[in-house]
Amino acid sequence: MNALDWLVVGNAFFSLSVFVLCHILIFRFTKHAAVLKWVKRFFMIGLAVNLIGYSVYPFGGFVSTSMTKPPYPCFIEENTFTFPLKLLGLLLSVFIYGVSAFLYVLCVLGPYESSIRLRLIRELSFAGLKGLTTKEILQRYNAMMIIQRRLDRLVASGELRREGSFYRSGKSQNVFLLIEMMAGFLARCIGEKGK
Amino acid sequence: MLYLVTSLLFFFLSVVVHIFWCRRQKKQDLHMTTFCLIALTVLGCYGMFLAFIQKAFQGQFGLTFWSCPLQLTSIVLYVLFIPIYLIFYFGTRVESPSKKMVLLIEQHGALSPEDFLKYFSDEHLVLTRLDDLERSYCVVLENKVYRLTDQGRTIARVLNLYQWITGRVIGG
Repeated sequence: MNALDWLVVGNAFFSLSVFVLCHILIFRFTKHAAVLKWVKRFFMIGLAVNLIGYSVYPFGGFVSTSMTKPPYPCFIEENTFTFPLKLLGLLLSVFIYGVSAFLYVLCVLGPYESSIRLRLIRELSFAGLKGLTTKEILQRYNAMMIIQRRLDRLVASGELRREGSFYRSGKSQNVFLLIEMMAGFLARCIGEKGK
Repeated sequence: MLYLVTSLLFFFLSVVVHIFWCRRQKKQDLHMTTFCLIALTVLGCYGMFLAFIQKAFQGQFGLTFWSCPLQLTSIVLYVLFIPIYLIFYFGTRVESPSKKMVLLIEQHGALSPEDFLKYFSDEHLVLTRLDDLERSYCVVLENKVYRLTDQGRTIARVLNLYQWITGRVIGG
């Protein structure tokens, strides 16, 4: 493994940790409906950290062809990386950051914010050993609440727009349609009809 | 770049093996653990391939665009692609309410919250999931009362911890 390899991965995960830190520090002050909007902002902050972190890294910079060692401690001792290689490293670092942030949102933040099963577990945990009947559960959490929360989130993220009491599509090409298209393709490959 | 292309080819191989494996199964269950096993086995093969390349061509690769040895990056990309594939695979069998709502609006043009209730009932959204939780031993139904099992309580504790760290309101 060479220094560029470490830099690509290290920079990507450092940016991810900034993204997660922003989410931990600032999310407590945001409204439930505005979650997706704030996730996009945190992502852009992480992306900026990624770009800055990579470009200021002391391996001669993108434009410099200097072969001299930097005056500060640095694990990249020589400027042995060509411009296309540095550019590839930057793109890979951004890509790894993007993918890992996407996974964090889908596997950690998403389930907490929107999973119906996890909400049911929490409602039952609040009830303690007494438990809840179906009727009591539906008084606390039901289809109308689930629909309304999702509509609020989708409007805040711009996927939908509200016109009076009606909701319309907000974007010509939204992320759900893309995911549906890819999942549909995979379902055809596997030979299953998606539910 | 060659390392990245090779890593993607190895990952593609694991996806192809999984797709063929799924097509041969009679039961239409989710085979996520199977994919993880296949992907990790193929990752092991990729690791051996890297070790072989390292030994056979030691020092012969220069630091050029195509030959720069980005082993760690290629392995990280491979590992990240595993959950991404699983998300899409999960999406072939389970439909999220948000996704369905967006698709319904695409079909009908405009819908009110009451219109959505024709497509989503309490039974569809809540009761089926309670059954899922019961099947996965997170919840137990006794005398028409649902209670958490030890497993369910552990999940609730993790969620409480997450809420304490992030300060979020309850999700759902």
